[in-house]
Amino acid sequence: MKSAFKYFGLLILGISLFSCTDVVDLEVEAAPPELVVDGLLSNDRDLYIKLSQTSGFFDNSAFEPIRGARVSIYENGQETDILTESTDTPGTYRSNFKGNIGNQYQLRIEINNNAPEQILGTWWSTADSMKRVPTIDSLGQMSLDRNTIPQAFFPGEYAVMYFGDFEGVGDYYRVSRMLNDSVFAQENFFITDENFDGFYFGGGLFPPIAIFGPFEEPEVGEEADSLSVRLESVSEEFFDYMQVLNTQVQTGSPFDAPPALVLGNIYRDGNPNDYGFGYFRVVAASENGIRYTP
Amino acid sequence: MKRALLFCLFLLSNALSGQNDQYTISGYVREASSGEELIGVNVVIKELQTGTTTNNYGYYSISLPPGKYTLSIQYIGFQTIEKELSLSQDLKLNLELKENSTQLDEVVVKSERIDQNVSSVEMSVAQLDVKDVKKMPALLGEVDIIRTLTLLPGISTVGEASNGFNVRGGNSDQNLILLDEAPIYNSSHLFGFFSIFNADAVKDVKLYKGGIPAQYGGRLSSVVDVRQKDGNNREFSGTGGIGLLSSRLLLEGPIVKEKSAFMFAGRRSYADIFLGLSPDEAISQNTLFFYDFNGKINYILGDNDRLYLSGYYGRDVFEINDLFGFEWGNATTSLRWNHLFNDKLFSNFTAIFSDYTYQLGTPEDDAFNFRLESTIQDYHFKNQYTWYASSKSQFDFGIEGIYYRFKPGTISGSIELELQEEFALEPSLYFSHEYKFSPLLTVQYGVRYSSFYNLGSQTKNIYQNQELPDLGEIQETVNFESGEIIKAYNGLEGLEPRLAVNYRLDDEKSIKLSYNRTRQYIHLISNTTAPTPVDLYRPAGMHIKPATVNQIAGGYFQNFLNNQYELSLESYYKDFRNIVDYRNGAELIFNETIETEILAGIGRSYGLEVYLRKQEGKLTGWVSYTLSKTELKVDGVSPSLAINAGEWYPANYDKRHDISVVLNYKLTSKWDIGMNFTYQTGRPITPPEGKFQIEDYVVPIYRERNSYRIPDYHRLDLSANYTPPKVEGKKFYSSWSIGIYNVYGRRNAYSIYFEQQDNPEGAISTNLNTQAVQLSIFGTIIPSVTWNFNF
Repeated sequence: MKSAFKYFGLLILGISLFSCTDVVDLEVEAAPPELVVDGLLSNDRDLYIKLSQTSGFFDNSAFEPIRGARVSIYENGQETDILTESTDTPGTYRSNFKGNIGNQYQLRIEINNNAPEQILGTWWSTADSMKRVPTIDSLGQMSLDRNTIPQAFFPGEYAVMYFGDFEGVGDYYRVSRMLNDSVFAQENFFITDENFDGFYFGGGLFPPIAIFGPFEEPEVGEEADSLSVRLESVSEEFFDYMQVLNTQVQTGSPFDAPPALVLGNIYRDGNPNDYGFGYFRVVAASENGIRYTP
Repeated sequence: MKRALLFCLFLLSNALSGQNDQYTISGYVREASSGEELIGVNVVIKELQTGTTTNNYGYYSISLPPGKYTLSIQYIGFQTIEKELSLSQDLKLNLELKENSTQLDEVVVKSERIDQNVSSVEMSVAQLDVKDVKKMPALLGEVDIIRTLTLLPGISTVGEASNGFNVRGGNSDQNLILLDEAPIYNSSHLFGFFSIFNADAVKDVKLYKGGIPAQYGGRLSSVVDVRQKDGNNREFSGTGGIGLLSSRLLLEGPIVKEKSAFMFAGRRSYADIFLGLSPDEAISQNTLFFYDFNGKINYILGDNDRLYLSGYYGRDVFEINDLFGFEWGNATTSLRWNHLFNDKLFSNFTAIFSDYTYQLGTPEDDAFNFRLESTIQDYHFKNQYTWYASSKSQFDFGIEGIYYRFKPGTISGSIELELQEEFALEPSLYFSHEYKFSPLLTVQYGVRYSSFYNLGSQTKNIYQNQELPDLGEIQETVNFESGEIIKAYNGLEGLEPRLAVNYRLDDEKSIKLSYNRTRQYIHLISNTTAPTPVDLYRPAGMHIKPATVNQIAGGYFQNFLNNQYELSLESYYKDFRNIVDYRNGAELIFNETIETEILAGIGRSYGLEVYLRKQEGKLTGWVSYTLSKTELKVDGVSPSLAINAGEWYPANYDKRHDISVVLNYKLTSKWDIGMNFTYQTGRPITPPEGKFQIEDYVVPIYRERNSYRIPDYHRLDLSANYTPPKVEGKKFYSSWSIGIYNVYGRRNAYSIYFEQQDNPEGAISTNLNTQAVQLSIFGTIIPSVTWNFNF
C-alpha cells in the first residue's frame, strides 16, 4: 500500500514540471569488507551457496568472492554433507544434497584464510525447517480486464494459477516466474495466507491468481511465449527479510522508509550479535508451466 | 510545593485587594471600515506606563483607580488614536482604528511606541501580519502562511514542499494547528506544496514556540493559532485573485448591519490543467487539484454576548487514469459563544468538531473494486475565562474536553474489512495568572493538568513483553466493553507547569525567561522523511505512551530608534521523552497491531535564535538566524531493533544554520518590491557505508543514521506588486503581483537516494552497479503572476 502511495507521491513531484535529478558523488568512507552469504536449500534442486564480501557503495567493480571456505549442511543437528567449491566461479559452493520436508537445516561456514581478518572464523545460519508446499494444480489462460475476476488493469490474455493453501495461518509462498527460460529480475512476489487461510484459489468463490500478463502476441512464424512458475514455501522470517529488503533497495526519496540494516540469518559461532549479511533459505518447491495460446 | 501555593495565594490576595477603589474601562477595538474586531491591539495608559492588549475576540479590559488618563490605542499598520478621559465610574469604550493610508505612510513619524516586543511577558512567539505576507514573493504566486512562518527563527521544514513543519527540534506532528480553535490534522495541500490556509480569509496568525500559555495543550512543540476573519458587518465587499495555480474569491457582508456578518471564501487549484499539457500520456490522463472553503457567521446578541459559527472544508483530489483515486482533507466546525459576566470577566464557550479523512480506491463500477477509508475525528468542548482583576493582574482559567474517534481503516467494495476503531477522552483544566510586580517585572505562572483515557470497545493483545510487543508473543486477547477504560494516564505526570518572566532593564530593553512542560497523547504514525496524507494519528494507550517535553528558554529583547527596529535573541533547551520511532520494515498502513511496529525514544534540542525586524517605514522586513541541534536516541534490545545502535543521531530535520532575509521596499505609492533570501545547512541523510549482493539485488548497508548532509540550501525570490491608487467613489480596485521563485535557478537538493542503475532496455539481467541520485524539487526559475481584486 505504502509503495503504491510512494509511486503517486513521486509522480506528483515529477510532474511538478520544475523538478530534476542529477547523479552525484558522495564522499563516504567505505566500511571494511564483511561476510555475505546467499544460499538456497530446496527439496528438488542442488544445494547452492555463494560467499562474497561487501564493498563500498560507490565501488562498481565485481563483489569479491570468498574462496577456500569449508561449507557444510547440518540436518536435524547432524553434519550431513560438505559442499564443493566451483572451479569456474570461485566463491560458489555446491552439492547435490536435497532437503526433506519437516527436517531442520543449518549452514556452517568455516573461513580460515583468503579473506580479511574480520571475516575469518566460523559462521552459522539460524536453524530453519523445510515447510510443506502445495502443488500448483494447473496454470490456465484467461482473458482479463477491469471488469473480470480476477481483475487486471490492462486488458489481455493472462496466465492464472490454481492452487490450495494448507489449513493453518502462517504459510508464506514465494512465486518466481520464468518467461521463455529467462528469470524475472528482482522477483519479490509473495503470497501469504494471512487473510486467505485454507482457501482454494480457483475453486468456489475464489478466483485463481493472475500470475502473468498480458501475453504479447507472437510474431509471425515465431513460437508463442511459455511461462513456468515455481512456488516455494518460505519461512516467515525470510518473508519479513524480503519485505525489509524491498524498502531498502531504493531509499532517500521523501516518501521512503528510513534507511535500515537489512539483516538476515547469518551469525558468528557463539555470538548471535556478530552478524554477516545475506540469507540462507530453506524451501520446498512445486512447479508448473503453460504456453500461451493466441 | 507548599511554598509555591503560599506564593500564589499571596499574589491572589494582592490581586483581589483594592478591588473596590478601582473602575474598569472595557470594550472592543474594531477596524473602522469593516467593523472587524482586532486582535492584539495595545491599549496603553500613558500616565501609568501600563496597559493591556485586546484578546482573540478584540476585547480589552483594564481596571484603574479613579483619575484623569490618556488612553493610547496602538496597532501596527493603523493610525494611533488617543483618548483623554476622566474615570469616575466603570466605562464601556468601543474603539475604532483606521488603517494607515498610503499617502500618510510616507510622512508620518510614529509618535507612539509599540514596544510589545520588549514589554510583553510573552517570548518565543512568532506573529505574522497577513497584509505583509501577501506582499512577499510566493511560489507560483500562492500566498502561503505556513511557508512564511518557516522564514522565522526556530521554524523549519524537512525540505521545500514537504508536508508540515518543525518547531525547535519538534517533529511535524508536535504542532497544534488551530483554525478558529479547531485542530487541523494536516496543514498541507498537494503533499506539502501549499498550506491549507487561504490568506484572504485569515485575520491573525500567531505561533508559540515556547513559553506556551497554559490554555494550550495537547502537542509538544508549538501552537499555531490562526483566526479567520469575522466578516464585514458594515457593507458588502469581496476580495479575490486569479493566479497561475489557483483562483480564489471571498465574499463578506452584513446580515444585520452592525450586528451580524458573514464571510465565505473559496479556492480551487487547476494544476490538472498543467497535467493535460504533458505529452506523456501516463501524466496527461491524471487529475490533481485541491479546493477549500472557509466560512464564518457571527452575531452580536447584545453588549455581553456574541456568537460565532465557523467552518473549514478542504479536499485534495488525485485520480490516475480513472483507474485509481485518492482524496484527502480536513473539515472543521466551531461554534463559540462569548459572554461577559461583567466588565472584568470574559468567558468563552466553544464546541468543536474536527475531521481528517483520506480515501483511496478503484471506481465502483469495476468488477473488483475497493475503497480504503481512514479517519480521525474529535469533538471538543472548552469553557474558558479571563478575569481582568486589575491593571496589574490577569487570570486565565478553564476546562477542556476532547473525545477522539480513530478509524484506522475500513475497506469496502468487493472485499469488506475493518480495523478496530479506537476511542479516547482527553480532559484537561488550566489556570494561569499574569502579575505585574512593578513596571519592570512581570510574571506569568500557571499550570495545566491533562489526562487521557483510551476507551473501548476494543480487543487488545496482551504480549509476553508489554514494553516491547511482538506478534509472535501474544499471550492472550482481552475484550473491552464500549466505554470501558483500556488505559488511563491520569497521574501526576499530567501536570504541566508553565512559567514566564519579563524583567525590563529599561524602556527599550528586557530579559525574559520561560519554562513549559507539554504533553502529547496522540502520535502521527509516519516513518517517512516527510509525512504523507495517508499517515494517521493513533492514541496513547496500553502500549503506546504519551510523549512529554520540557523546555526552558531565555532571551534578550531590545528595540532601537524609537521602536522602529525590534531585536530578539533567544536560546532554548528541550528535552523530549517517549517520542515514537519505528522498527525496521514497519508496515504502518492498515495495521491493527501498530504497537508491534514502533519503538519509544528520547530527544534533545537546543539552539540560539536571532531576529531583527522592522515593521514601519518604506523598508520593512526581517532578518532571522537560527543555530540549532536536534538529536534522537532510540534504544533497542537487539541490533535489529536499536536505531543507530542505540547512539544519539541527528533528527531528519536537524539543520545547523538557518538564515532568512525578508525585505519589502515601497518604491512609490503604486509600486513595492520584495525579496526573500534563505540559506540553510543541508539536512542529514544516511549514506550507505557499503553494499552487498543477494540474488540479483544490491542492498545498501546503512548503519550510522543521518551521518551525512545533503548540500546546503539557498534560494532567492523576488516580487513586485503594483497597486494603482483607488479611484474616488469607485469601490472596485485591483492589483498585480509578479514574482520569481528561485531567481538563480539553483538545483537545491531535496534528497539523495541510492539505487541500482537501470539497464539498457531489453537487457535480461539486472545491473549490479549502484549510484546516488540527487532530487531537486524546484530545480529551475519559477515565475508567477497574480491578479488580485477588491470590491
